[in-house]
Amino acid sequence: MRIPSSRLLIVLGLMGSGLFMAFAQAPKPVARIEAFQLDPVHCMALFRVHHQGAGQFWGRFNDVSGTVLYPRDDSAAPEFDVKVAVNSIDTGTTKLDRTLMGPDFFNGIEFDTLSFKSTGAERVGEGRWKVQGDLVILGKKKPVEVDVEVTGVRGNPVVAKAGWEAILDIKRSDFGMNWGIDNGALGDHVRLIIGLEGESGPPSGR
Amino acid sequence: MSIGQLLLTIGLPTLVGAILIVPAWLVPRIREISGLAGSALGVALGMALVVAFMCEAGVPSLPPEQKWHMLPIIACGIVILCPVVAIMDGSGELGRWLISIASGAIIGWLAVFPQMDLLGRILLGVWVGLSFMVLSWVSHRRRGITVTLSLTIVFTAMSLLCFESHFITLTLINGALAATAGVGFASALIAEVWTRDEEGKRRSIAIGWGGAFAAASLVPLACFCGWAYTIGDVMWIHWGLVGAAPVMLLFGELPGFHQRHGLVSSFLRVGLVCIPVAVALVLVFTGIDSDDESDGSETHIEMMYSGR
Repeated sequence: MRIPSSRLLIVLGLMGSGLFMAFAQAPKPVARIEAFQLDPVHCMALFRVHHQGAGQFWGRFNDVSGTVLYPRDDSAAPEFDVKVAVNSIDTGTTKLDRTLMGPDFFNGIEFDTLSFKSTGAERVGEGRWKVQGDLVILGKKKPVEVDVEVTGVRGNPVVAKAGWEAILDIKRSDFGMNWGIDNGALGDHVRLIIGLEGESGPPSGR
Repeated sequence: MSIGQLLLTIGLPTLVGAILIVPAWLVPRIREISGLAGSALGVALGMALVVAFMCEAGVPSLPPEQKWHMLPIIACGIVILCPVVAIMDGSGELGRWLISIASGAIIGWLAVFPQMDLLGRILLGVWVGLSFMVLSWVSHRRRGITVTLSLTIVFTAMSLLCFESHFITLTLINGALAATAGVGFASALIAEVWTRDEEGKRRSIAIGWGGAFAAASLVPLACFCGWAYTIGDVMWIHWGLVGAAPVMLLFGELPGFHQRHGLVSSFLRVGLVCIPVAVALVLVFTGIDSDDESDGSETHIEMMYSGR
């Protein structure tokens, strides 16, 4: 039997539009959450504190490690588990580094790391998050809120690099680091600016 | 370092010490009260540590947040126990041994600084016990000026070691202890030179078992604490030389020397204490490497306070 070409065209058109509708209504694929291992070479934690009520004194920690769980498309909040080695403190002056590593400040002999672990987050913009978590300094755990900006994601389907910048303000007295506050030698408020870069490893299984 | 900071952290404990020591040692009526003169230096030293700590690091928490915060807590115990120990003064060898063993055991048990294993705690306890044996014995035989000046020198040297170890608070605590012991020395000297008893003889002050107990506890404690938190070039041998220096007073009791009395022989005995102290300080301050990138003209505390 011979089918008229006009009917064939109508059938094919209906099938095509059906397929199109089916694809259009399908949920958008979500990127899987990957575990980014932080690269200590490209991570750094800076801190600044008011010195004698005048200028801002800056220092940094060079050894930052840990993992960040994050989907490349920013569809979920980054989850941080970050550790900072106290003995990697660097102010540019060895004597001052030793003083800051001493018991009056970070007490590196008793507490060799500072750490942060996420407990929650809320989106505040594209690639911007307010991350809640527990900060541990001198063995004291305190909840803090961190402003996080995703600074970039690059890679191929197998591996990727991603970067974040985190800023938080703390009162060091909350952690029992009191030296120099009462006499005005050093301020209580400390701003931490942490630059992180990680490379994705195997899928996290989430 | 700012003058205000020094006045507060070293001056305030010294003032407290002076309020305790001067009346107890120089006012005859007060001096006669049993156990008061023998506990004044001990209570003053314990208070000095507590006050200096609070000036620098605030009120200590219980249990301590950091291991070295045990220092003021132990010092509070010393302040409380000092009058008891002072009253036991004269109870003979049994009492001396009892206090020696008890103080060594309690402090060895309580003071757990980093890097201190069981052996370290036993060593601290034995050191405290032995120091009490020596100081309580010497305090009965020698004038107050001998022991107080020795303590002033030892605490000053420990302050310098702490400074080189980058431990600011313990530097100032030892400074306060040195100044308080210095008040004791000045008071003992005044009593020795200017006061006379009914028979016209010079009045000599003994630091008593209370003072010996506090000194025997605080010197090894501060020494171990400084050693445990050292960041820098100060080694255990330097701490050991300074901390063990008061034991050198025993050499002043050797045959041929022990019968010598008078101010000059007191200073000669103090000279014995100075030998290990001087050796330690020379070793530390001539052996420090210059790995600092700065021009070296400023200390780290000066940098913190001012220039850098």
